[in-house]
Amino acid sequence: MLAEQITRGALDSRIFDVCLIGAGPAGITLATELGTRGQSVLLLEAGGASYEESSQAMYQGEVVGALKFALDTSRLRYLGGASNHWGGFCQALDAVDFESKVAGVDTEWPIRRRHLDPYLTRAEAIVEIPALTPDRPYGERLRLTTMRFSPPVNFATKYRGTLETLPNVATLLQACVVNLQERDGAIVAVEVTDPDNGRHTARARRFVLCAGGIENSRMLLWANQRNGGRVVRDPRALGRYWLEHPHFTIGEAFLDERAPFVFDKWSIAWSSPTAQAIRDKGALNAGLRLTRRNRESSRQMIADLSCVAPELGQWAMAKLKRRLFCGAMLRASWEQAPRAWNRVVLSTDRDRHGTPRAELHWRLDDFDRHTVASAATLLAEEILRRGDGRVRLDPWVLGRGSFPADDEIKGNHHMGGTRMSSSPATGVVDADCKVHGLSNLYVAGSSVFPSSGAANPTLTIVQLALRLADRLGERASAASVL
Amino acid sequence: MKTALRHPATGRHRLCRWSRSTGSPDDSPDRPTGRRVFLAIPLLAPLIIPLLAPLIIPRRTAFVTPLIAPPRLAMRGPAPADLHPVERAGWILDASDR
Repeated sequence: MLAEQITRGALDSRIFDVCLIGAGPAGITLATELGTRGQSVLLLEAGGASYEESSQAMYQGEVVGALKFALDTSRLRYLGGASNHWGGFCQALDAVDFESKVAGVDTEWPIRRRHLDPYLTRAEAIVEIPALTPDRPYGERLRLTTMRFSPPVNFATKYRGTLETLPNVATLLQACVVNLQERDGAIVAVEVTDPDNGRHTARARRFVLCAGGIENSRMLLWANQRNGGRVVRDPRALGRYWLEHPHFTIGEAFLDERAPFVFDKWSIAWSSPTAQAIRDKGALNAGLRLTRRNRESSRQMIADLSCVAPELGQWAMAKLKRRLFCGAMLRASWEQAPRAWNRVVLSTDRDRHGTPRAELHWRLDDFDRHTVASAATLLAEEILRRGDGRVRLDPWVLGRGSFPADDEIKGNHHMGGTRMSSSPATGVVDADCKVHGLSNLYVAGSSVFPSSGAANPTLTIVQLALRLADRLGERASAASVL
Repeated sequence: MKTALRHPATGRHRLCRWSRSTGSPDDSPDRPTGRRVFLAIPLLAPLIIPLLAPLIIPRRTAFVTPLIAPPRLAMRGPAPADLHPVERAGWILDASDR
């Protein structure tokens, strides 16, 4: 069943097995999984069935830091969530991404990649990508990676029919959760508003926040404040260790036709440092993208090279004329160090429901530069060593100047804030995505990432949702036996 | 024209142009092709080129490029033991790149 709006009294008499808050990729995956397993599910979506300015305005908020981006355009508030503007880029996290890599930088997950691997095939089917293939080595310190492209799947389009027909799944649109009600270490109900500011109460045995990489933090911060700190009892990590994948152009390259880079349908060849190189460099993971350029811009690049190495430039130009060379733009996105100061806080400004808006404190630091410079230098040196071309790095990558504010800056990958950790001192949820100290509140989505790797997050979000569906199924079975 | 083509940092010419008005290469050390010279030379070229080439063809032309191609780019295989990457204006180069 799917209702465009809550009707008065519709929720009053029912207690659902699971209440899911947010109908993006994580929430819809959980709803369909749990629904097909026979659990009664209430899926609450704050937005409507399609984009509406008034709904989207609820996502307005401020970014505090030198590099700005708009919080109300980097996510979407309606059925399907961010999958409505998702680009479809899919990679799985690397095994090293789950581990501690650099002393003093807490990138450790309480689970390992092997705990998510069993869900990879099903996640690939959901986002409609072919099976991932192993990376290929490029020298000893780099690997050529493959990006898979979802069509991209729009979760609303793909699963709306399923949500409508599953008899035990109730999907309510324009149902905004404004508070969680805690009693004796459990959430007993959530308060829901409709567009007319009518108040409703939804009850369930278990609740899952699936509202996205900023809203999950915002909701918990506000609920914790309203419940006297009894929702997240140790709030030290709440909202903190927020992460993005910084996206910047970092230089350019020209490549010999014999270089083993494979350009995909977007004319991008992908590479990353190996796990050993990451550890040796004392840096984090990074994704390097060589994007093929046209002949004119390649010619200009080689002309610039001629200014510092005339003979090399002349030789390269000759090869370019015979189409034996191509120029490439070099871009990077990388793993940020989880920092407590990168965080979501509640603003003094409020939305029309009276909930404080999100205020995001986010900045890049010298460690970010170290990570991207390490990976870029590895690539430049390997291309040089193999005679596959040459690389030029932008001055700021080499430590001359600050991060360029006019670049893409971010990937709209909102991660962290309710991070997974074995200790409530350093995280909000445990290895099963259950909020520390509460018996029945869970979090799904990229907000639970303790660290981000360099992979685009959607595939991992779906894997984690499938795993959480298994956990919720196990606990339901245990409860029914009791 | 030449001023506009100068690199703002190094002052060197970004591109060298074959001068159509004079029929000779301009005074930049970079990237002349020399092809027009060959087109203009009549059938006796095989005889006169060895004599005149040093005079009329600038040293770095497409004709002689293969002889001066940086060996590091031309060959593949194991890394040379003496490889020493250097950075010049952001380019990560072999120390022998000229």
